[in-house]
Amino acid sequence: MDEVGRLCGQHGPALVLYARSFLWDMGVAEDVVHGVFLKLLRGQVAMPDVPVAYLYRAVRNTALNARRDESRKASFDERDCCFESVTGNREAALALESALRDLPCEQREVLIMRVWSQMTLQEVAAATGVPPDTAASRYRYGLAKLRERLKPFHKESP
Amino acid sequence: MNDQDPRFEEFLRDFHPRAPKPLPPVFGPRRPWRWLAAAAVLILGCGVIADRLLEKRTLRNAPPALTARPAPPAENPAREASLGRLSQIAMEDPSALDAALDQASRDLLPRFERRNSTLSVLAKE
Repeated sequence: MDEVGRLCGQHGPALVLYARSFLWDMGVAEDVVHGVFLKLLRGQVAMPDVPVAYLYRAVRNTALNARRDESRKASFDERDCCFESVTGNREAALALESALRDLPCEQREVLIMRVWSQMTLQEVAAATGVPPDTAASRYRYGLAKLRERLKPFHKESP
Repeated sequence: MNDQDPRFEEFLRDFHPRAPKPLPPVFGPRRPWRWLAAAAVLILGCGVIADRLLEKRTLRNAPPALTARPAPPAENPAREASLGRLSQIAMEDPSALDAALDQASRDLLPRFERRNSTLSVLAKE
């Protein structure tokens, strides 16, 4: 119970973001993550050895199933932005969400784990089941693409 | 890694993804014995209370014959003055026959010595 609560607090928001990258509807993405944690909480699924790996895998599978049901909705709803910007820059938040959605799935997964789940690249590699070098290169490529897309909002020092 | 990466990571972390809905306080099936024990105690308690109530109700609704001893039957004066008994007295102790007859007449006949008895009232008239 405490472990599930801790996992939800640490990885919940990143998992919602991850689910949202497969789904158009923010509410459905939240439900997907909530449902995955509830299964753990109710003991319907035994606590795995690598919980984070299980959580990301379960959220992806559940989100892909849910996506079949929402196929009628064809466009991204801007009112449903997944991010809240500290600076209140809603335009940048929408641009970031859109850029993340356009990344290849394996790069997006590594980026979300590293940036918003605060995992080390070794942990990301263990969770995704790839060598650390592969995880590092996916992260590097993904980060470069995001930086390019978000140039108008992020001023880099010379 | 690019030198700019940590700065860009910090920039990205300024965007907070929405948190999922709070988890409900669910007690999973990991400790089912707690619920079983609570249910057993509850059932046992209800059983004891029901038993006590039933016992009280049974005592309250029981017929008086079960709770109170029947009163001994009153002596029937006619029995004492029966012909058979008087005959027996006459044969065994003739001297006691007069006393027995007097006693029988006192028990069976209306008494007129009392102050407001019917006979004394009629006698006055």
